[in-house]
Amino acid sequence: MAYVSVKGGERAISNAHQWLDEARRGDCGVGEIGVDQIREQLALAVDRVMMEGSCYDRDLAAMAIKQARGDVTEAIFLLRAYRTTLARFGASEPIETQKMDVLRRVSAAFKDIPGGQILGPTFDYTHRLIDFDETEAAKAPLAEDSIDRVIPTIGHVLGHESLLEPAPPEDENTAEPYDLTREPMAFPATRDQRLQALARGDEGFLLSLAYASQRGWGNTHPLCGEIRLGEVAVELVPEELGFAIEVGEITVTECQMISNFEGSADRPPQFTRGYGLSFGHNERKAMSMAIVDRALRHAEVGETPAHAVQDEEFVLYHSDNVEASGFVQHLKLPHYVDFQAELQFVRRLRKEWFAARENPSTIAEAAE
Amino acid sequence: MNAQQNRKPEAYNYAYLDEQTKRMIRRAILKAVAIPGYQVPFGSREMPVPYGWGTGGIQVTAAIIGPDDVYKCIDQGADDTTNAVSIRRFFARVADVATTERTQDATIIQTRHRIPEAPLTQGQIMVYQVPQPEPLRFLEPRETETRAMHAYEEYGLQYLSLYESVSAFGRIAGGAGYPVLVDERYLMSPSPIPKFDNPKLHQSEALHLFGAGREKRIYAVPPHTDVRSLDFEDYPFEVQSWDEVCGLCGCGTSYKDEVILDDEGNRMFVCSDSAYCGERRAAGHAGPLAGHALDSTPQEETLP
Amino acid sequence: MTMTVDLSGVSAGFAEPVPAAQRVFRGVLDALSRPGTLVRLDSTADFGAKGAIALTLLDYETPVWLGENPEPAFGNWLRFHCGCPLAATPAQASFVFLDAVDLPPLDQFHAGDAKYPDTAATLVITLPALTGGAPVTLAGPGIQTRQTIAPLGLAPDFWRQAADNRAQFQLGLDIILAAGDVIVGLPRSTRILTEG
Repeated sequence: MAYVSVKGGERAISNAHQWLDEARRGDCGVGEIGVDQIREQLALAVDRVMMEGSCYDRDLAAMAIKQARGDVTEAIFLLRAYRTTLARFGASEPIETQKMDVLRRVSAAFKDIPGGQILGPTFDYTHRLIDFDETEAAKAPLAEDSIDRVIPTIGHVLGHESLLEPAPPEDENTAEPYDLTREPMAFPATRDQRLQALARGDEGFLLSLAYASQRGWGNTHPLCGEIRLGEVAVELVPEELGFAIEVGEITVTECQMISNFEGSADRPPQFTRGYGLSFGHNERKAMSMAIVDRALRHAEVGETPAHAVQDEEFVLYHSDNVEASGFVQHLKLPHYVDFQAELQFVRRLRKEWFAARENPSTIAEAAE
Repeated sequence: MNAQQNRKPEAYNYAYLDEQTKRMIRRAILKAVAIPGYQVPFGSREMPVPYGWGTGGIQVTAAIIGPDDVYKCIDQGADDTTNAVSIRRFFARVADVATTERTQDATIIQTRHRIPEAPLTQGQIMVYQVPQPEPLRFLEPRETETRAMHAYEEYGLQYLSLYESVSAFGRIAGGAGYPVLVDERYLMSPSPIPKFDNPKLHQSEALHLFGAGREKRIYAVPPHTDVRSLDFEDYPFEVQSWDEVCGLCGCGTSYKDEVILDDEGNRMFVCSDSAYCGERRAAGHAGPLAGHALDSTPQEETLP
Repeated sequence: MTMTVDLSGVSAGFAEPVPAAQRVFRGVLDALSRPGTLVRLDSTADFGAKGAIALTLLDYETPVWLGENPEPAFGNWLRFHCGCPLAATPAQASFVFLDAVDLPPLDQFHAGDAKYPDTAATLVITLPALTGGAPVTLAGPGIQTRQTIAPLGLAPDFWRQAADNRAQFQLGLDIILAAGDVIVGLPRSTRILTEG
């Protein structure tokens, strides 16, 4: 009998990492992909990594995607682990999406709406046929547009009649907003905590929850009031200046979902909102987020929660894919000790079970 | 003990975390010590290892460790398991710290799932990696509910669950992560250590710090604190024991790993605490399987 | 409370902040883990133990109370090195630094709430000496059997208040007594057996 214990030594780890590097590169006969190529040509993957990585930096996100071999969740994790080492300067002023330089804007609520419908760069109405002519170069650029790209939001359009609930008032006190990346969550969740958790929540998880709520596992009856994509200015008020200065522009996708509400003793019947916002161009995420946001606001409009999508502890504690992925995959780590404890217990129960079957009187004794 | 001449990577702060984060964690640790067994929420940071792989323990260690410390890291009781090697290497690099496998020489012992067999001494700090800090979580999934239960010391649900297991199995089930009452006040999860290790927490000489990174909680058991594993008068708490002694060192009292030797059902038992077992063998103890190939090359690495 | 800070009299903080804060923290951790044990903090910072503790634990997240008429030298030094806000009232402070003679009734400070007892204040009380006073016996977590201390300069009813503090556990203040560079920990878990 020979027993050599398996040792996960340094050598095993470094060999595995070397192998990973090789696998990442793939066939060396094929040209290496550049970070700039990922940034420009896989822009939607970059957008998603920036959003769920809570860090608006296209180059870093592209580097993370490359290092992660295209595994988006892994790239998100890489970006977050880097982000957490950065100094925090403060909080920006709220971005003003009504001043957005709009690239795309659609509303499903009205056929015509001030500012019009702008399709922009969308997969919508494309036929999902693989294009076997894979060269992009031949495609002709568009002529410069001349449309007015600053257009009122659905909130402004519907606001006049108070048909749509007003946007929540801005926090009067100048206290710092909640920061999900630095504070543990507490419940009931405040609006800033909820929206931050949803914004960086896993797109697939929010999509499925939103979908479930549309199918009756929730009660949102959503309608897409508006979805807009474009660039907004980010402003900061340095303490020494006392006024806002623009520090850059970011591309965001914003979604206002509208749900009807029959009214209650305290509130007249009106449409209620769900809000979604994502870095870059990600309508699936912004729309899912808006539906889930609205579902979680059941208490504010006096609805009785009955479904998972309306349970903020369930939704907010389980939306983070870096947390979820780590914990699910930690089951790869050894659990010899716990399993040995379980084995002992089950073996003992089995021994007693077989003994009892052979000698039924022990069952009666045990029951006494 | 291997003296380390590790170079600190300039890109990161000493012990990886920035000083503001360390202060935040240090404040949480002090409150945890002042309220034994209570889970202090803290602003857990994203770490360069995945959640569930020791992020809580790593943050606690990073907040307390200094260049004068001697660091030991174990997983399942062993110093040579992959994740323990990986975490030990991390701190050797970022904290410029000496590492050891000898429990007696360590000032900080980070662990996943075990407390070493060698008695802990005054001045030592145990750091536990905790996957689920809430002992009541599987009885009540809601944090709002469990937090209220702790606040008002309403632990009936836990006792009911133990009672139900007595009815079902004729004894209290649960082999690891067995709940304890700390200083007769807070119900606490000792992390998934086997209940075999629970008695080591009671009136321990060492300070025990528990870090749950994903769940963002830190809690503590100070030295010389009463830690009682829950039980009933007629169903007293009992720990695991084995009929077999350790195949390598012959120890009859340690916690054992079961090793499957072939596919015909042959197996052996060895100490789960690899450092303890190694020391016993070095001191001349031998188990029934000693003298075989297995202990002649203890440092050999075999790739799985 | 004025926001202006006169920097002319502000002396240096830790020479090497990272290792110094780590060593001081371990001292404070040791003191609160073993209540009643005298622990010398390894620091060369100004203001002795209270200065060392402030540099180690305070920042913009920790409002501080220094009394109604704080000593300007310490207050300025604290604001400069730690950037901590000064609390408007004792109840809003997460850290309190006071000389024993200036100590108001302990119930003025925040003792946490039932669900979040960790939000309670930490008090650092400066004394002339940690020995030479009336002996008091302590028990509880961190103490093997009994621990006797005899700090000098506490008000006559301090120990009754400390016992009341323990009686409201899990609520309670966590107290550090300091003299020179030596501290002794009195976390809320500590039982006061004889009143001094």
